[in-house]
Amino acid sequence: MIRQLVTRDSVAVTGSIIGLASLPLGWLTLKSSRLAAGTSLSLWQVVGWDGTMVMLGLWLIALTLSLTKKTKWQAISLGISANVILIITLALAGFESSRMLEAEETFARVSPSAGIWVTLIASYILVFAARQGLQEAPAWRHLVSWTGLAAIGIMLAIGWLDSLSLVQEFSGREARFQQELVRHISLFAGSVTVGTLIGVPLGIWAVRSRRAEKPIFYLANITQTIPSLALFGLVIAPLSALSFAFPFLREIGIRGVGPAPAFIALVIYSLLPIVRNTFVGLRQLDPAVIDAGLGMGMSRAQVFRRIEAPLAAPLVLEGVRTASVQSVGLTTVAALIGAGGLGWFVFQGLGQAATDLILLGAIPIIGLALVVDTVMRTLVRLSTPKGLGGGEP
Amino acid sequence: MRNPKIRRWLILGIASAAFIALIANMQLWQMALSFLFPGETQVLHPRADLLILTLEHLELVGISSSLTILIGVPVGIWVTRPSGSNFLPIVNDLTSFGQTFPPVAVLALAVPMLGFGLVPTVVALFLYGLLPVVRNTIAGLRAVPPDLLDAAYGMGMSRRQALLKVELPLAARVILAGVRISVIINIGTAMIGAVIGAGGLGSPIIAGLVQDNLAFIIEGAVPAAILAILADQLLANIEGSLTHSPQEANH
Repeated sequence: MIRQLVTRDSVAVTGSIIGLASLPLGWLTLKSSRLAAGTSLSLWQVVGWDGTMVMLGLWLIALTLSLTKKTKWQAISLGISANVILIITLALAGFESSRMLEAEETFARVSPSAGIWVTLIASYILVFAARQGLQEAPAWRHLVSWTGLAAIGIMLAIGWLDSLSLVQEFSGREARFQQELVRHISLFAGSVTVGTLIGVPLGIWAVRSRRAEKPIFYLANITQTIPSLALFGLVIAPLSALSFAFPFLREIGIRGVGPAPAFIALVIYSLLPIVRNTFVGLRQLDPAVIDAGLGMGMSRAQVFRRIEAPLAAPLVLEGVRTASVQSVGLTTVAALIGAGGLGWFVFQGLGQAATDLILLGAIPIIGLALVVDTVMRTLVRLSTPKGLGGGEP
Repeated sequence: MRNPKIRRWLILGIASAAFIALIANMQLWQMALSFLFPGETQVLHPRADLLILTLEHLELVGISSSLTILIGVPVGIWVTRPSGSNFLPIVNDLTSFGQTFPPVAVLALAVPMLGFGLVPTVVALFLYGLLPVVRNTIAGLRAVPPDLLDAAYGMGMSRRQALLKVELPLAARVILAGVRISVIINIGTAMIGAVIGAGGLGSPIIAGLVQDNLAFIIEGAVPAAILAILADQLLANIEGSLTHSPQEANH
């Protein structure tokens, strides 16, 4: 039996079992206000026995498909059933939450609880398993991967999920959200840009000079090791001393706390990945290629511009990608020193023990990190000269 | 002293002793901070002495990193065995996907599920710390040349013996590099645990930011920075002592 399970799709089986396990968990939480403790309602309390039977049936279909022999159509049906489960779950959550709110007082909130989160995880596992079986059918693979996400986007756009507390929290603070999102993006993008402008020349210098190499890497390594909160703290003290000594600095916005120290610390943090990758990118070049360039009569500067720089570019960009993803996360911490950004919601939420506010910060931060990662990966791929292997390590 | 390995351990030992002497001496901090910040009436965070805060911090990181190693390395081993190979793609996907998540966001998400205090911090540190350990365990084991494995089986070793005597020793360095990344991230994220009441060296900094007291911030930031650098050096030294070839472990 176990042997047989292993030759079947054990990943999909795990996903289906996790999915079945989500059924007895709490599905929605009803709170009398956004800070009150909630009562957890199970699936059958929310949608009744017939609704529960539908969900149970869908998961049993998924389980049966997982145990069937792996074929293309098995993978397609598995992927479709995972998407159907995902869409029905969210559609039910949206519908039932608005129905529940009608019966409650104005301050009541309904939020998804463990059952829905576990369902989302289980559907991800099933979609992943289905994708593995669809390596040769890219059209189906994209359909299976994106349908559920697109449906979530549509449901959010048409307001189907408006009664869920997280969406309510967002609608109440839309202007503030946009402001902090812009602040977050400009802080991380600005610091990585400055980090690139400093880091790339440092990397080139380290390749050219043996004497510079050690101290540059020593410093970059150490600054990367220091905990972010500590580095923010260490930047604050000298800055506030400066702003006390020179009041005009205060007038242009440089104070102990706020965006200025955050920006400086973020630039320092972004240096190591950029310096390291510039160094490796230039060091790994075949000396014969450079010789060939010089032999063709190019000057040293021409060799750098036309041979070394384009060949090293993918690795340098890979370093910028690492720095950017890291910086999105560290900018969150910067909210603690008054720099704003999406971390503001996270720490406000933590301070007030307001779950929805925490999620309103944390989920977009994760989304932003994923978007930045995808965009930068694409740039790395595009910058890889044809004829060189893929830019992905 | 001529042996660079012994010299590294000696330097680390002296630096650690100096660090302990520094954080154990609160009068020194009182004097130095009063001198630097004459405007503050209170320059030391009243919650606890630095030694206690450092121990709290090490406890947080120690518990979560031990759990990480105890679970992460076996998971990495399992997915590279035939019995777990089905799960290799999804584990690879999750570790690279998960590393895009900011550690602070993971910490924040642990609070709605587990409440405030020590437990959510340890769970978040443990989960996030798993990623580099699992990833490097997989990478280390897969980098073992197949010829060597064939040779081991040819010598009559069982799978288990080959794992313990050939694969793990050869992968040890890469695995330890993962542990090092994981521990350093955990030391940093544990600082932010102070926001949700986990204590540690983050608490004077958070208190200093809230009360606008620069002395508190410095009191927390300096030992935290030194602690992280020492921990990094300790793990680098262990990593270095595993090498069979005298290769430098820089960058």
